[in-house]
Amino acid sequence: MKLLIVLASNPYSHDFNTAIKLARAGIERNHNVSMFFMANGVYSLVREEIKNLAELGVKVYYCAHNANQRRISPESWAESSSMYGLSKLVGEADKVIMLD
Amino acid sequence: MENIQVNRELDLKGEVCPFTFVKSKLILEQMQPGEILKVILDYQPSVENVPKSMREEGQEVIEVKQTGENLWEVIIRKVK
Repeated sequence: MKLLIVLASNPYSHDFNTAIKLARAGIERNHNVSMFFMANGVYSLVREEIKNLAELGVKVYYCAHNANQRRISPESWAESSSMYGLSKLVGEADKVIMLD
Repeated sequence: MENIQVNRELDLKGEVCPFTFVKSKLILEQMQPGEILKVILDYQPSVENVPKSMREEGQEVIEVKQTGENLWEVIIRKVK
């Protein structure tokens, strides 16, 4: 199953932990997991937990505009994307979980 | 790249995502396949994402070039 988790909450919210647990559970069940970070969710990209998920095979995308506004320069394991990119991911996913 | 004839030019200075892509797409919809659109951008994240989104839409991105300190041109050929 293609699972997409969208996180717009700040990384010190309960949503962050929910997103991490859902992504880990998805990977453990051999699902194809993608995460999209937008709005204050892009701050999550500075946290080690997300990098660890990327290393486990989670595809990590972020809104380049939101990151730029917040002066975040994500590392190469996260892919620059946009609202257009998000719309494509939503269309391709079997399930989308939005946390904001 | 000097010989490419541009059919439409879109100046998007001052615009940010997602309007940069949306406005480019709207202009492209008015054009014929094979015609060339030049998009002028001054917002770096759009310089990455407008070409990426255009390719995903099936259009041909001929060139992305920096023309100033904070100025870029994206040359797109309408495919469909």
